[in-house]
Amino acid sequence: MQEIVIDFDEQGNATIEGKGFVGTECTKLTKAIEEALGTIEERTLKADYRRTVAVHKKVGA
Amino acid sequence: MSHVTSVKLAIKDLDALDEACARLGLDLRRDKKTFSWWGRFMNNSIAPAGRDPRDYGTCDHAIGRAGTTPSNGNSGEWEIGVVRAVGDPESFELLLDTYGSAGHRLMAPCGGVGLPTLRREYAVAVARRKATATLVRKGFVATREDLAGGRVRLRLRKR
Repeated sequence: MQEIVIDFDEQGNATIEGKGFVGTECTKLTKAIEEALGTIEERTLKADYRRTVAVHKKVGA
Repeated sequence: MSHVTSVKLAIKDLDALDEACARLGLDLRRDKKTFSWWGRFMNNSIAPAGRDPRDYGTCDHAIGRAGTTPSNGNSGEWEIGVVRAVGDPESFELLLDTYGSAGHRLMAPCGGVGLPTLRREYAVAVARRKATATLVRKGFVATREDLAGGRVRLRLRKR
């Protein structure tokens, strides 16, 4: 299941965590939220970020 | 899992600030160019970085307690000034006089000194609004959870 969890501390600073995403999909989805909130202090990429997805395309159907 | 990002808050979105204020029983008074306070710099406190005490009381927008009429002075109804940030014209800073009962009355719904509750509610409103604009149409559902210690969790789960 794909999920984005945004935790706000009592000062309003946020930590954003994506779960169940592969590759750059999560960062693309959360980019607008990150930019609206303020300055990114730290970004930690998880193992799934580096995994690529095999796309099987049917040609000539 | 793919990434974790830590973001330091900056106030940029007036609509989200309006939403946060309403949740706390405050009014965002847009384009109000003065905010009420003691009314005169007493030279007994340090000016915020980059601010000239002669400009105290001027702002771009103001925040006050809903249903009240702003006034200066010891027993006045004071406001928070929403002022363009020094060195970052896209962001706003919040300025206010914290002195005495008037200052404490204003800070109370905002979580006290530093206005943490107002800042947190602003951040939640920004994220919720952006999520609605971008993720909800992609099938995500947003839910809010209020956690211990004044923390809030916004969970966006794909259906």
